[in-house]
Amino acid sequence: MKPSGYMILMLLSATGFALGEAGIGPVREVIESRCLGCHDSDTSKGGIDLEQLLSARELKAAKTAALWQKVDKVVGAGEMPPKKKKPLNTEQKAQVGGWYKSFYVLKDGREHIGRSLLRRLSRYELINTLEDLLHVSLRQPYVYSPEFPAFLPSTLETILPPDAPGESGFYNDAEQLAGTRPPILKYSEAFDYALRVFSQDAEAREKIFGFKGVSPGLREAEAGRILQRFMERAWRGYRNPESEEVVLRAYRDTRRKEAPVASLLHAMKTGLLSPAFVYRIEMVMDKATPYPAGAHELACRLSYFLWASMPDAELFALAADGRLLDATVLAAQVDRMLKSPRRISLSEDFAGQWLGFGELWTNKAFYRNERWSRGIYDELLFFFDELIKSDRSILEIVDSDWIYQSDYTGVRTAGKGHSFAAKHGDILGSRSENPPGIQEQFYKPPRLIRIKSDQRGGLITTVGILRVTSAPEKTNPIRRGVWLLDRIIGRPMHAPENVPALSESEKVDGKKLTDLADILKAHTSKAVCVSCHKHIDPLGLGLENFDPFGKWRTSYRNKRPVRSRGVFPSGETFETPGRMKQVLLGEYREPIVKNIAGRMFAYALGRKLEPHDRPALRRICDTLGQDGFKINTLIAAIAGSRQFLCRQDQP
Amino acid sequence: MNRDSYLIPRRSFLRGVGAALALPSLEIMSPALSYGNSAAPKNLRLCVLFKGAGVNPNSWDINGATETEFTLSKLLSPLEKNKKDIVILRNIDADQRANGGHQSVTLTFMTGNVRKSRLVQRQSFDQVIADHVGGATPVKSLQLRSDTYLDANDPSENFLSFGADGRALPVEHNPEVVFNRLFKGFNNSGFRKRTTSVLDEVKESYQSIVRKASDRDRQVLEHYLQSVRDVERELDQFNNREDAARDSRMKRIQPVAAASDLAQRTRAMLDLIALAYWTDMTRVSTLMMAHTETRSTYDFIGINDELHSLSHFVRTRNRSSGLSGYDKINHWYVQQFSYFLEKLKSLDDDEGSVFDNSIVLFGSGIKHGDYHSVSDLPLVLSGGGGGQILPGRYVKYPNTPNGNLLLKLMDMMGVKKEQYGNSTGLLPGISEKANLAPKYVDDGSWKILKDEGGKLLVKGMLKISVKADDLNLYLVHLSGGEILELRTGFGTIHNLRIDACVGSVVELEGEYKVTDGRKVITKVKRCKRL
Repeated sequence: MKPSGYMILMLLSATGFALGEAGIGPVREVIESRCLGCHDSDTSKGGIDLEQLLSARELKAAKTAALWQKVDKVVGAGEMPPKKKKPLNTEQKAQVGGWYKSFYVLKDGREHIGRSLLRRLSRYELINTLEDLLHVSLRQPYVYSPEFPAFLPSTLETILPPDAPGESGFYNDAEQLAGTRPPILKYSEAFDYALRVFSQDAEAREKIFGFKGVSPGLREAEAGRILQRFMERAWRGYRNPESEEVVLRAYRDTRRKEAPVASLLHAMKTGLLSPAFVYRIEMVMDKATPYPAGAHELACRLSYFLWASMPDAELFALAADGRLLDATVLAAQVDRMLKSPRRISLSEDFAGQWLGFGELWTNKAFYRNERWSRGIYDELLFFFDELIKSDRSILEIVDSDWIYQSDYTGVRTAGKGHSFAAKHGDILGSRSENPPGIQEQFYKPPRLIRIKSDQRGGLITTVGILRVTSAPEKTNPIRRGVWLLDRIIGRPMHAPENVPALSESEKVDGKKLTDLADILKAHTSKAVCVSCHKHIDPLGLGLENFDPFGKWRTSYRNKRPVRSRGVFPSGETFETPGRMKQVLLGEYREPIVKNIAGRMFAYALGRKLEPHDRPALRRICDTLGQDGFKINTLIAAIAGSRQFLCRQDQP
Repeated sequence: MNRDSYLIPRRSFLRGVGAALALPSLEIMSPALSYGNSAAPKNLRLCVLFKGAGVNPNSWDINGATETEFTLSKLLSPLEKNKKDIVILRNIDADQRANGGHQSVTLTFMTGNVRKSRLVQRQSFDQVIADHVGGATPVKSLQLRSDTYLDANDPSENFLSFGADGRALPVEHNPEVVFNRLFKGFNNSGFRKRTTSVLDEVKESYQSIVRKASDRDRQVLEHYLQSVRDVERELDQFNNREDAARDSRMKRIQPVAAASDLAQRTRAMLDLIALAYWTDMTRVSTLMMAHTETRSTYDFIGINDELHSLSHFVRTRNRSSGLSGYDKINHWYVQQFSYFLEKLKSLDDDEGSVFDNSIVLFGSGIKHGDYHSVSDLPLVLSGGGGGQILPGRYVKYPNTPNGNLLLKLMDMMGVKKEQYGNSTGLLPGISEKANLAPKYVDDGSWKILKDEGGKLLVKGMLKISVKADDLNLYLVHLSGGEILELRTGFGTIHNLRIDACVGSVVELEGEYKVTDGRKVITKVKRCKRL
């Protein structure tokens, strides 16, 4: 065994686990003696070849790092060696974990936050930002009306191409947005449209220009001041005299031929097309270790995390004199921002993508009719927002004794009207103008009710989630099980390669598989299936009482009874979805909390989590556990993490 | 073209530079580079004007006419000045499976088939044509609607055009957006110039930012510059491919203002189609003038009831504007059709007018507004079709599937197909005289065949009463001039599709009562078109 160069560094490290004497040496011994029996290059059980891993030279290479991460994870969780083999002792476990931590989590023995990424605005953020910047509404009114049926996107959504989610699972993923070419022409068209709406709105114009009407006598100095103010807001505190001069000159050039207002509009467009608007450019100190981000940077990070939009006047003011850098002020701002209707972005953008219910709105396959679709979407939206508004436990996502119920879903759960806090009227009006009266006439938003039900409660058993996890006409317990494992428990499953689908494969035990339960039973009798399906099937089966449209059923269309009985890998059994959710919360509480916290952390940072984020995530989860898993504690803990507060310019 | 003829008040159009920079979508720009690859007949255009919700047959139908000698009916009267420009088609039938409902009538009209599923359909015939000729123009085809009503329960009714993948194509309802797409894109040299100058500013701004950025940020920002360069490259390609004729026509087009009601929107859309044809921006377009279940009202002609509810005129005859309102609205639509034809005639093409080189189909997917019968659809064909349409005629076919008409339209546009939808062959009598002998000749056999005390079996020509105050009255004409009245409930007419047999000789079995010495059929058991 040859010590590598990296190991020398590790030996010098001052903090972290006890590393043992020789870096990877003890780990190598553990793996050679306990793992290679199954995972050498010849056997490679489950496709895992640890012999090759031990000989890998580039330890930072993505593939190698990912495999080490897996080793660390299964060893740490006690999943490997498998049950029938002798487990690793505490020291051996610590050696594997300690080496991984010192090499992949820490940098020079210290925690760090990885390189900060330049973030381009996602489409959702761009539209919000234009609305807030120009003081206009650019969305479809949030009302039901025959004039605004489903799938009619706003003009800006027609112009701007949709984003693709990145590895973080979200549209605001910095790497993904950086890797996609910015659609300059579409931006230009979108800004034209937004500025046109703005120019036709006297109130909005007065807010930015300071005058109504055409102002033919506008002096150049005054126009300059208007544009300076505009750029400060549009570029969110980013200063660059040369870029500013480009905008001012655009005004002067246009002014020779055009009226003052038209010239201002042209200069504004030039400002919007500048990278300073489209990207969130942060001031850089070029340091290899984390250092506090500036006040303007922090204001932006906060506003895009909590509002998916630009900072408001108060945040700008606190950034201007640096007060925002004070931890108490920051905490108070988080609190204030979560009270603002703009927090709806956390439900729309974060939860909508995480739980996939945003698709109810964008994917025609889930469509039934306008009110139904809006109803099931709003049940989820309002539920998630209620968590924030009333600062409730994130575990209520799994089960709760309250729900939001819409009149249009075809599903009615008995319950009493209820109110934790105020009504949701503020949300309906948050991002758009809401013509009074229309909403009540055509569409009643879902109501908050207290329920006592073994069938409903939490987000998992809402019509919307049951719909997005179904095929068009029938339920798919595998899909539902995989969804729960991935989205709720945080264990993404991938369709097995080279394993034929059971329904198409040979008969099992001489019996042809016809019944769903038979197929699922076969999963547990075939070794190739069981390692994953022992986790998937019970979860999916537990939801079989819900049809593809979320309605309760006790038999299938062919009159066969629904069997939603299941056994968890631990041996716990259940016969109702309510009981299943309880077992879920009992057995999977830790991964559920970690998953939710991790998802939100990734959304806040605009990137997927890396090994170096692990200590921070653990602290966030600890804080959360000490405060009853309250969601606003989670949000505040994320906003208070070094990842969120600091910059680092090298990996 | 007269600059001022392009209607619409211009005051609400923002004349500032910001607005002047609206940009086209990429789909408009790219195909233009592959100019002149199509083998379609020279410059022919196709336009489908769909007016849903049927008609009142009494007001639409022409009676007692020959192919060349005919008097326009009440609803067709706005076409008086276009009488030599049109071919009125009778007895073109949609798939009978669509009879009685809404769900399929838009689709049968455009595809010759009843619908496959809620979301996936057969490729509509206009798109088959667009696939063939669309490569020759900057825009493959235009899908427009001037009626803003959209039905939420049955999305497929909202669309006329379906692509090769069977999915509905997006429909634009905002004339301003259409205008920008057509006339402010890269095909417009002025637009190219303005875009170039904006890009110069962007580059300058970019340079000053990149100078201060970190290495890593610079790598990301690089994409921004790359994107600018891409646009510049495309601009260059257009700059080298001048189309002088188009450019000069583009310069004469005035911007469009926001249309505030259905009337303005309809005019604007018709103008846009005409101008798009004139500048050869596209050769295929569909316009949904009225959704078949539309809730639109027509207060600009004094009708404040919804068209769809008025169209059910048998059942809603007591509605304030009632049948007369329904007729007024349909009359107004035919006026718009006439306006469009005149517009096409006013625009010069390379040879003749745009009208001479166009094919325009105006019609509805159902005949009777209340019964939703799908026989004898209200259809008018117009345009010179590049010499392929012999106009000034009224053609009463034997009952013929509408697929035959669609096949003929495709054929004229250069798409040769054996079969399409419910077609059984190419529709004759479009490019040449039909010279059809009347299908039904009174051979003396139209009479009561059986009469057993209140029950009868009768053969005769079924007609509908022309009395507006007696809407549910049908008449069976017998040899020798005798006429039997048929008065029965809505349900019977609807279920037995009796309305679809109007104009045909039928064999009818039912019961009668004697009133004032006349036999009146009150119950129908069976009604068969012979």
